[in-house]
Amino acid sequence: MTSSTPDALWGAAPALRVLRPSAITVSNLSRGGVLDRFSLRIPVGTRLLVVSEPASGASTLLRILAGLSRPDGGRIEIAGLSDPSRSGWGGRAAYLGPEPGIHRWMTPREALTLAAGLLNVAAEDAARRIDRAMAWARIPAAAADRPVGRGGSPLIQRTGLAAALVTDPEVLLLDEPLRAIETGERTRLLSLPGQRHTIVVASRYPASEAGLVTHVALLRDGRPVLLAPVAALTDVGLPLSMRGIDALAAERSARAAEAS
Amino acid sequence: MSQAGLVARLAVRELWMTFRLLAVLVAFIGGSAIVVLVPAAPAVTLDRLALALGLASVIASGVAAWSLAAERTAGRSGWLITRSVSRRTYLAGWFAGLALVAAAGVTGAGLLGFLAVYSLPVGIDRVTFGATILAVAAAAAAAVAVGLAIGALLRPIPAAIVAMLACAAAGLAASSVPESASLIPGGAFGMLGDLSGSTTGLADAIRAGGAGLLSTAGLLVLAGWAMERAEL
Repeated sequence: MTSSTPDALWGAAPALRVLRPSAITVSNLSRGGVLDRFSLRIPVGTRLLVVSEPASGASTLLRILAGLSRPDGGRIEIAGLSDPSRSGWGGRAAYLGPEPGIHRWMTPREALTLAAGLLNVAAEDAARRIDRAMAWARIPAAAADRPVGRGGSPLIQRTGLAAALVTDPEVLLLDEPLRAIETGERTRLLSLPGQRHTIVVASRYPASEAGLVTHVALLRDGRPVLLAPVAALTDVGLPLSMRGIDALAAERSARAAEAS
Repeated sequence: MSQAGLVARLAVRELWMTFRLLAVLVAFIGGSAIVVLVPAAPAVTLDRLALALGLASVIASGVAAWSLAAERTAGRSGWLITRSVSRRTYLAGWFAGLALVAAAGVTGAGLLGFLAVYSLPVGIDRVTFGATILAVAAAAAAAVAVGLAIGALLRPIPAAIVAMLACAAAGLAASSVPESASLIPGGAFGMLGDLSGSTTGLADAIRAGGAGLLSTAGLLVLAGWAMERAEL
């Protein structure tokens, strides 16, 4: 079983879910003073919120996973593969940052066609995938063939999301995504159906990710100090906020100190 | 289509949409058109044509540096890299797009120069003229590669200025050592200017073309190294 196992199997066979293969594995990852030689394993299907102190750490982690920044050292595996080319995990992971980086003169359809072409999606399959991705991102039909620049930031961000989804990635890396879109709509857009999608969100506003994530990780001074289900916060009456996550990390650290 | 082909097509469209393609073509063809339309002896026309092509190559280098730096800082390179395009493929695509535009410019300018020079009775070998124009095209490709190497490191405006200064310096260096001009990429321009003085032979032109291509390859390796380390 791999992270490519179809959703139908994940849902139908609980025994398969117990195995929980790794979607993302990082070992001894380091980058300047921001990431300090840490290792992390994120199982398939996890929807993880990453927050950090200082705030740039979470974003840097996602940028390294996406190949936009280079680590000083360490090893990255996504979907069990260490090769970032399109025949490796390049075709299985997608990244959406605060600025999607789409040329403003491109139409949403052109951007999605290019995204599909770069990942070698067959033309007949590409048209179907593009229509599906545009429908999910709620790109109006009237805007599909007009330059994205005319629709402003919301259309550019919706197009960025649709381009990320066009190849149905197993791993979705989201760095402060869709901030130009209203919170409720944003949560709907990012709540992908199925259980095999692994989503990692870097955010400075944890409360805005409520309903989207199942787990939370806190990086402090470049190392993970907390990795817990969101339910662990609610169980002790803490909110999904920076202060709540900090308090949970402190409580767990105190408990660990007592136990030792 | 290959990833490099898709990136090259995107690069040409981006250059077209932002009028930078027009700027490069006007620099090569427009500059040469002005030179050849002014009546003068073939030797003077060739001198002016060489100067016009040299300036156009400097502009092409600046445009290359500006373009790559702007793509990088605006996150547009990043969008392609996260679509599993390798950084070297991305660079190759941009080089292909820019070199294609520069080659079209040099071809147009060379044709105008040919028509102007051979409309008068001159004793310049046509094959040598063609080979010298090819050497100029190789030097223009090297100028584009200089631009890309610097564009991978600096922000748009400083990148464009540094690239243009570097190319102008290479041209001046080549003109200060005319005896070794064929071994310096910028020397091809001087050889074009000296064509009527029959000091330039076919072998020199081919050597200059080879030096230009070798420099282009070396500079692209350097640009690739810089791009691999760039923050996108």
